[in-house]
Amino acid sequence: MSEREGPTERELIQAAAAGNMGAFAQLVQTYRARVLRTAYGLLGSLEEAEDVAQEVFIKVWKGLPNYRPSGSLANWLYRITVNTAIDTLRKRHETFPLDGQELDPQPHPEETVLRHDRQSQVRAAIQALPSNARAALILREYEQLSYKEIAAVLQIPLGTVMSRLNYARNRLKELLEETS
Amino acid sequence: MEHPNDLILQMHIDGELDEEARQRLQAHLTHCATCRERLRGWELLSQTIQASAPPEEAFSRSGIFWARLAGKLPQKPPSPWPWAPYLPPILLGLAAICLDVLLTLAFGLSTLAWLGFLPSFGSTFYHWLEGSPFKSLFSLFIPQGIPGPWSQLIASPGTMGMVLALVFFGGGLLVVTVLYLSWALCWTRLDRSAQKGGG
Ligand SMILES: [Zn+2]
Repeated sequence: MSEREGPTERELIQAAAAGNMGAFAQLVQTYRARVLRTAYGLLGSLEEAEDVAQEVFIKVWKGLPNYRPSGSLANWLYRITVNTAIDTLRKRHETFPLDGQELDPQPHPEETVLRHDRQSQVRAAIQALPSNARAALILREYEQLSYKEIAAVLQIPLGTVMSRLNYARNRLKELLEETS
Repeated sequence: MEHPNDLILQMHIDGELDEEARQRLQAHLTHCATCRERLRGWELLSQTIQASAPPEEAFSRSGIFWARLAGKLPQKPPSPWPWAPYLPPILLGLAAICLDVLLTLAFGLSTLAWLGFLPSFGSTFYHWLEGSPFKSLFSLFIPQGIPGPWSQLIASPGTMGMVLALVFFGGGLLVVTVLYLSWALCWTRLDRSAQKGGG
């Protein structure tokens, strides 16, 4: 006998696509932390990560009526998150051209929560990586995605995923050895 | 056996090696302390990165996040055709304009007929009535139901045209007014809902 355990994700997607806010709220609740963490990994700022996550879910709400699930919803969300975060990085570069400061952004007051010496060094080192290597690394280490999933999210070949991860880890090791 | 490269060690940590490659690596690691040390180094790095992920408490609480988001979501997903909600007032307005044009034309023509510039609308109507089932009803009504001078006046074909045109025009004007009013109501409701959605 099967127990009725609330709506499936597919049902929630259909309801949200038809304009049901309650269903959408449940989807947001499920994916909020993943989107925020990924955005933070790419931007290194809690405030910007919150803004990007808001923008991501607005895009998802608008895009749901035309969403055709070819992969998983999570992969679609990760893709929108990475693209939106990279757009934000690009805008940051336009605002402060040729400024090295963005590699180590000033912490916002609330970010002192995160400033634990070694961890903050690691975060700064991650932010010093090129954004495409950083995206692969964050999806692997923060989100535990497989190489195949990372390739689907970033829309790059499997071999490129491996070389970006390898590059990111080697560079990170160097950076951390310099600071410690 | 040759030492495995860093990529192989990282793939092992990520669980991406196939069974055969994994067993080959394990066999190598059992007798190579250098590679065990290298593997340990990459594992440590992986753990360090994972530990740097912000905890969920670092972000705003779920309820606050949703409250901020819900305020920015458009009420309904965008309609496939953005002008669809404006269709009823536009169609009503068009219907009223068409009726208005027809009425003006009818009134103008019957006035011209009354002045004698055109064949009488009234007599044309009378000729049509003679061959229609309304004839008996009409002849019953006009000579007996209306007192002398009025019945004479109405029975004269030219005046008849004028009276019919006036009735047609008056009734039509009422319909046009109702249509315009509904159009205006539809339009302002749309405007109000747009303001509510935007603010
Ligand atoms: Zn070895």
